[in-house]
Amino acid sequence: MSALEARYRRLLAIYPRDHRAVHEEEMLGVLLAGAKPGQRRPGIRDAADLLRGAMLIWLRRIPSMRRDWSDALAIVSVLASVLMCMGPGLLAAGFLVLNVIEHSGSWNSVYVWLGVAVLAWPTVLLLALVGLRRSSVTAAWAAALLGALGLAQEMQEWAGLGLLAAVALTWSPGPARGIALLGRSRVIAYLVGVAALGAVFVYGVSDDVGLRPGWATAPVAWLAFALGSALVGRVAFRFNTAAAGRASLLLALPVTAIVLTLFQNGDLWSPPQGLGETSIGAHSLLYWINTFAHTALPVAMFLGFLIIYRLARRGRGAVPDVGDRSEGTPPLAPG
Amino acid sequence: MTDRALQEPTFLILTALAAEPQHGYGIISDVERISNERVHLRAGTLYAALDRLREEGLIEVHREEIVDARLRRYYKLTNKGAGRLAAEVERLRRHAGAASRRLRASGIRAFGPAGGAW
Repeated sequence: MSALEARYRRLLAIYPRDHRAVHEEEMLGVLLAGAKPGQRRPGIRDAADLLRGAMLIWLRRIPSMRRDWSDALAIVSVLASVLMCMGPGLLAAGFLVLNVIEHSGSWNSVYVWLGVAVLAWPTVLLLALVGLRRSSVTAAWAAALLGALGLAQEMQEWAGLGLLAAVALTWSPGPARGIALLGRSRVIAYLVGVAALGAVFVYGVSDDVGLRPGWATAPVAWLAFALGSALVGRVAFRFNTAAAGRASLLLALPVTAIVLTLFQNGDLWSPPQGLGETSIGAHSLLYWINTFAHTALPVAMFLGFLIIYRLARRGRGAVPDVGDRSEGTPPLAPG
Repeated sequence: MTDRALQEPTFLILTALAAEPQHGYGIISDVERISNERVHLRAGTLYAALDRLREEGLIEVHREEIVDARLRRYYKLTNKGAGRLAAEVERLRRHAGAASRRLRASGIRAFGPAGGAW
């Protein structure tokens, strides 16, 4: 590669990635054909003209970029809300059962708070899906704040995802659009798949169908769980759109934070505390809830989103120019 | 949208492609010829215009060739592009006709490169 070509390539790097994938070689050909013999540097006018052209093309992309982000937030709004039901919602239900057992039925004000925490995110989703947008947004922020204040440390770890869900519900077309983008059967398949894997995982790390933890088998269970999550993610999310990639990236951030916290606390390879170790001994239902919602779910989601993000990026690489834009540009094909 | 006047580079690019399908550098050379060396398109301007014209469906890719290990993509005018160019030609003809009739009627003597015509 000549020095001039290398310099032109550096200038062309400011163009959008998909534009470069299609036009870079062609533009280089034009630039080099117009160069004087022995020329080593791009002329100032050519350089200025390339900058101007790149700016025009970026500006023209803004509407489709906005649509990609708003679609990504719509996907986030549905997945994050469902995860808040399955994670902290389930944990709150576990704590509610634990409290009722420990207080043997006598009234305690914490029941109310735990009940609210159980119902908060299902209510948000329900309101959004029946079209009560403003109510669902208000409920989401209330639920997110309640989660951040935290009734238990295990639930507080999910605060980041709750805030992301509230943001997504506020600034996107909402869960109905997200479900339409993903396909309803795929969303259901993915959630059922993850729940089933979680159940198998809990069984795998338990000696005796969830009575006492048998952590000797844990590494095998973790491996099987990781592979299973990857497989479910691949099968269920056979889409490779820019919106899906962005959504999984956004979701991976708070989920990664949860997994890191689990790692730091050593919860990934030691018997679960909290719900698992109660004053009345290990209760199978509580143990199950704790292992599933506190540990298995965040890890499954973490792996799942990484895989989807990879698929989405690879998909976009294969269809460089217009494949991921739903309208506007006709496909760039010869003839 | 279709009512808006075409900018000069756009008009010249469509005119170049009206003759035959051409690749990027071919368009640049042809535009220089058409404009009597007055308009020299550069790569940034050309490809911003091609990107937009393709999005609007006025041009499309005709074929691709590899010449000296480098990709050459030929573009051609679509029917829609031909219609847009024809509409623009008609608009310019109307304006030019009006201007020349009025100049002749005014009796004002015109100087400059075209002044000798009347």
